[in-house]
Order: sequence, then C-alpha cells, then structure tokens
Amino acid sequence: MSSDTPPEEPHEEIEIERRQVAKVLAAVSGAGAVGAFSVSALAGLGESGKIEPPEPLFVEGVRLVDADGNPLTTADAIPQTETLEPTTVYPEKEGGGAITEDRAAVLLVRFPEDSYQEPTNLDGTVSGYAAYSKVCTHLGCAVNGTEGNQFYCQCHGSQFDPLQGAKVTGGPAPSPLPQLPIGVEDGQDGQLLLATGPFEGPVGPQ
Amino acid sequence: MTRDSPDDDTASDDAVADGGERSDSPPAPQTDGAGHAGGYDGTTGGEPVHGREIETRQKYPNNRLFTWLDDRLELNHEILGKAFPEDKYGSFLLGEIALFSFIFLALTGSFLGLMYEPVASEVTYEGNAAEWAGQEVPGAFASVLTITYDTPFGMFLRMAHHWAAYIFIAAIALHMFRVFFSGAYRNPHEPNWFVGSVLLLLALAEGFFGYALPLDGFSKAATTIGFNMTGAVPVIGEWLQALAFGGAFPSQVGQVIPHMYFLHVFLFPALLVGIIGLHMMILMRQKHTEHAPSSRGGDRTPAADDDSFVVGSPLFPQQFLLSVVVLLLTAATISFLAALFPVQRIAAIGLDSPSSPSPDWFFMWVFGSLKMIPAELSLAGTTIVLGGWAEFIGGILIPMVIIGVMIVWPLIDNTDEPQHFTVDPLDRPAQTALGVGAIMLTIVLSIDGMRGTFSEVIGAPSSTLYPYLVLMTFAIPLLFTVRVYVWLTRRQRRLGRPTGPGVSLPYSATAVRWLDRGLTVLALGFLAVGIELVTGSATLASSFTGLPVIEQLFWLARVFAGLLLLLPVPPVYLALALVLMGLALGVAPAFAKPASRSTRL
Repeated sequence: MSSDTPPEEPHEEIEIERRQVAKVLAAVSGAGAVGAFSVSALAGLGESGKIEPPEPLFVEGVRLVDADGNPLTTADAIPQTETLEPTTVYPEKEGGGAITEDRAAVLLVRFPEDSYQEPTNLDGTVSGYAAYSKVCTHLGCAVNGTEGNQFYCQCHGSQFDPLQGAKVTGGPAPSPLPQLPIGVEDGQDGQLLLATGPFEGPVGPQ
Repeated sequence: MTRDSPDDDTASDDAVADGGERSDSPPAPQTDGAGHAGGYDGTTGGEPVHGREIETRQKYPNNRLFTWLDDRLELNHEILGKAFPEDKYGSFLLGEIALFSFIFLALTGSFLGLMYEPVASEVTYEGNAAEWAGQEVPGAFASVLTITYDTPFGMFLRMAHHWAAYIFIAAIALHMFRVFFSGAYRNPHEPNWFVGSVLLLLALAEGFFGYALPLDGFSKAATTIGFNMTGAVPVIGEWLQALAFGGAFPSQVGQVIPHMYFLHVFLFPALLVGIIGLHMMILMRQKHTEHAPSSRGGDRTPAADDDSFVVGSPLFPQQFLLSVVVLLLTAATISFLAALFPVQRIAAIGLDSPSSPSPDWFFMWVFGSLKMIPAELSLAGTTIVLGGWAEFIGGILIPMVIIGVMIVWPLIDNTDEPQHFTVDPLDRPAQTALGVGAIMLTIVLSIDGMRGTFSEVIGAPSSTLYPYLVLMTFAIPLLFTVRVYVWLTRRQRRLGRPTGPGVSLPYSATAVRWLDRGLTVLALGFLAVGIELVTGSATLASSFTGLPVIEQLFWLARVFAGLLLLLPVPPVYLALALVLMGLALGVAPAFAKPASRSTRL
C-alpha cells in the first residue's frame, strides 16, 4: 500500500487479514511438514540406536584366564609383594580361550591378606587376590597405569585405591571401579581363580 | 554508507540483457564491487577504471574460446571479475588452503571409502603386515590393514587423507584467527562468521568420526570417550548417543561402525559441501573486507571514506593463477608430509588400548579440559562433590562455552555502521588481547591434555604435576591477556590514538616490570619443557625406527632446519620446489614393497 493512494478502509482490512491468515497457514503447514519429518526421523533414529545393557560376562564359576586363555592359579598369577603389580585377566570362553572384550577386562591385584580395608568386599577376595573392572568409571578408558599403590587411568588421570575397594582417590571419576568377587577351585596345577558372581556394580561410566 | 547495493547490480544487469547488446558506456560509475584489476586495464591502457566499464569481452579480445563462451554464458565481472583484495601477508589465502585441502580430503577419501569395510565382525587378515597375518581381527581393522599394506599407493593415500584433515582443520583455525584479529567479522560480515563456525564444527565432527573408523586401539579409546561424553549431557544424553552413534560403544560396535561410516563419508561431507557453497556465496555477495584505504597505492587510491567498491585482483586471470599455485602448494605439502611423516601406523598401534591414549591434536584441548575437572573439589575447607557432573563440565560445558563465545563474538563486539576495511590488530587492544588470551587458553588446555607424556618426559608423577598445571591453566591466559592489553593501550596512547573499549588498568611501571619478569620465567619454563618434549618425541620416534635417540634427534633437527632454510625463498620457487619434492617423495614410497615396509613399523 503506497501512501499516495486514497485510503480504502474495507479493502485494506481484507487485504491485511488475508495476508495474516496466509502467514498463519504457511507457518502451521511449514511447521507441520518440518515437524512430521524431523520428529519421525529423530524418534526412529533414537529408537533404533537404543543402547541395550549388555549380558553380564561373569557369572558364578567362570574362570579367570590370561589373554591367551590359560587359567590362573593362586600360586603363580602374581608374585606375593607389597607393591601394586596388576595383571589384566579375562573371563574364560566356553570351551577354552579368553573373552577379550574391553568390558570384560579385569585388573587382578595381590597384596598381603590383612592389608585390605573397607569398603573392599573381603568375601570377594581370596588369598590376598582382589579383582576390579578395568573399565574406568569416568569415560570408559582402560585403566592401565599405576602411580604408587594406586590404579591410574592414563586418559584423564583418575586414581583408584585397590586396597579400599578401588574407591576414587583423585581425578574426575565419579565412582569406584566395581569389584569382581573371586574364589578358588581345585585344579590340576593348583587352586584356580574363578568368579563367584558378577561385578558388584555397573561396569564403565553410567 | 552507500556501498554497492544489490538492487543497483540487478537493475544494471537487466538493462544490459533487455537491450540485447552490450553497452560500452557504464550504467553508473563504481556500482560494481568487483573488477578492477591490479594495473590491468584491458586494451585501452589508459586511465584506471572501475567496475563494469571494461567488458570482459573487451579484456580478452584475442581469446576466441573465451569470447565464444562469454557470448553464451555471459562470463562477466560478476564472477570472473570478482575482486580479491591485495594482501601483503598472504593471510587472505588461508581460506583457500582450507578449501583445497577439503578437495584432497574428498579425493583421497573416495579412494579409501571404496575399499574400507564398515564391519566389526572378526575376519582373518591375510596380507603383508607381518604382525597381523593370519590373525582374527575386526573387519574394519583388517580392511584398513589391507588398504595400508597390501594396496599399491594405499599407504600414501591414507596418510595423505590424514594429513589433509590436519591441514584442513589447521587452515580453518588460522583463517578464523586472521578474520578475528583483522576485525573482518564485524558488520556486515557476521553471517559469514556464523556460517564459518558451523564449518569448523562440522570439520571437527568429521575428524572425530574419521578417527574412529579404523577400529584400532587409539580409535576405540577416543570413540569410547566421545560416546560417554555425549552421554554426560543431562536429560537427553542417552538419546543423543543413540542419534550420533546408533548404539553403545564399544559393546554394540557392530551397529555403531556403519552408522559412523555413513556420517563420515556421506552426511557430514554433503553438509560441508553445501555450507562451503553458502560461505562462498555470501563472500561473493558481500565482497572481501579490504585493507584500509591507507594501504591502497598509487592512482587507485580513492578518498579514504569511499568504500563503495573494492580494489583487488580479478578472479580471472590473476587470482586464478595465484590460487592454482596455492592449490599445488597445498597438494605438495600434503604429499610431502604424507610421504615423510606417517601417522596412525595401524599395524604398530594394534587393537589393544594404548598405554597413554590421546585424541588427534585438535581435540587435545577438550581432552585437557576433561582432565582438569576433578570429581571432588576442595576449596578453602569446603568440598564440592561434582561426581558425574565433572565429565559434563569438563567435556561439554567448558568447550561449549569457549566455542559458544567464539560463535556469538560478532554480536558481542558489534558496530552499528558497516565496516568494509580490515583493522590493524595493534589498533584494537581489547579484542587483540582477548584473542591472544583465547589462543593461550587452548594451548595450555592442550598441554593439560598431554599430562601423561609430560610426566613421562619429566619423570615426575602425574599427580604431582596436577596443581602446577591448574595454576598454569588459569595464570598463562590471564597474564598474556593483561600483558598484551597493557602493551597495546600504552602504544595507542603514545601514538595519540583511541584505545577502544575496555577497562583502564591501574598499572604502574613497576607492576609491568614484574609482569614481564613473570612472563620471562614462564617463557624459559616453556623452552625447557619444549626441549624435553623434543627429546621425548625423539625417544618415542626411535622406538619405531630403531635408530639411536641421538641420531633420531639429529634427524628431526635436520628436517626442521631444512624447513627453516626454505623461508626466505620466493613463494613461486618454493611452490615449484615443494611440488617437485612432493611428487618425488610422494610417489617414491609407493614403489617400495609393502611387506618390507610393514616390518619396519
């Protein structure tokens, strides 16, 4: 509407109303079209990519083996020392071999039997051995370093104390490494280490 | 401000088209932002002229192919005459380097994409890489081994892809620094700053998913961290994980790998192509920012306040030739690096999680920020338990705040008047000081990220280093910002120029002297650490090459000295030398037998 045309009130009103209605309709149909596609696409993707909790790898009676699948005995898994020398062990595959999935990795440590303190589950330790998940509870890295007598995650510097139920002693991790209760059974070469149940907490970050 | 208005352009275009013939008389002087060639004024050889006064046809009267095409396609000033401002530092070419490395990424990526297999299930690798021959490995890992060690030119092209990605991201970052420090993001150029920021984020996403695809130890560690970081976003974390990864990593790796493959080779590149197009369209529409009129030389100098047109070299032929040189130089650099500095040597890395995992360098600052936030914060007797929030703060919040401030910066530092000329960074104390501070922050955060390497090299346990690193993370960016600000405001006052926005600091000469002493100590510390890091990397390199450390050190020094010697060489000869060197070095290793190389790695 240019200003030099004489005002025609009714005409102008209709014009504006029409334009407004058209705008609203365009907005609604546009939003509907975009919404229909994006909501269905996003919902579909969210559903299909749904994160499913994996099956537990350790159940009662699963033996601990090294990466090559050799069973571990209490006598020679780790030499008896006062210092932290963790070994990475895995659950035994049915019919031999090791399940070397990242989430299955376990840090096996050995200390004098009376050195474990709360909140370690003492029933889950055997002959000075204790086992903890190797998956850092911060962002899921493999905890494969040590500093002093502490586990040290090389990714972001989280520290866990193996003598206190792997509780967090430094760094960004929010919760301790879950303990794996272990026991022994008699084998040919001596007492074989095995799990007496699943991990006592969720493995990895939650 | 009467700059060339879009309406004028369209109107004059229409006029020409309607007339059915080309008029040699200009519609209006100085309507076109494009077109004045640096000293090239067609066949007339007379007074310099601006804008559309020279018809392209008239410019190349002897080129029959050009006139034939011009008759049909109207290759007029709008595109071929687009003016590229002169830039004595070459910094205006950084965007072009980014563009060209993207082209190399697409080309090398197509080669890799045709052979890569996005499967996680175990297959038996039967090939030349001695460490892995006959072993059961994930399909993706096996196919990358095959590309690298069993395919002619495969290793070279894979390394070239990796290096092109590094140069792509580095060039984008340097390009943004140039735009930031020269104030080229200001009104009316804010839209292109936003578009460019989106390009940077897409490039980083490409880098992340590309790193994940080989499924080796490093990629698994980095992807696991990225996956769990995404999950740390409150409320929608799990949904975001499903959207970005299509399943849990690493437990559902079988469905995550094809998902990431699609994102890396199709969705993100397609978005990149589209948005790069948008970036360049906006650039064509708005024209470059130009060096301030004072830098225009000779008879081309318009009145200082006249910004109705841009002076520069036209796209064709001047800028085109320069761009070809830049393209070849980029290609040469990529092939040089790919041939001499193999990265991500997959057979040596293997499948096990590395003893000190690290992301690519462009994510190192995020990695450092993650390391810096502890789960428990003890300050003045009170302990704040952050717990699971630590990873959200370190991995999401801090990077988001840094990137967010960067993106909206043109809205924070805005001007009402359009600014068509660049500024001298020295004339803007506040902005330049902040920019320097931000760069220092990313550097110190990256150093935080390399704490493991650090403690290994220095021999101090990582937890001992932590408090010093925290101090450094806060102190260094702050000190640098203050120091640059003090220096520049003093300079401005001395020259009698405005100091711009910012606080007036109550500094005394003594305070500044102490600040300088502190910075000197820091610089010496940096130097010492730098030397340690060089020897450390030589040690690391010698573990791969089998050379004694001292020899490896000499070798590194030779490479760097060689690069330094190249600096004073004129760019054209440098380009030529690098092209030849790149060709020679790039092609040579491909002729070596893959098997013999794999044993070295």
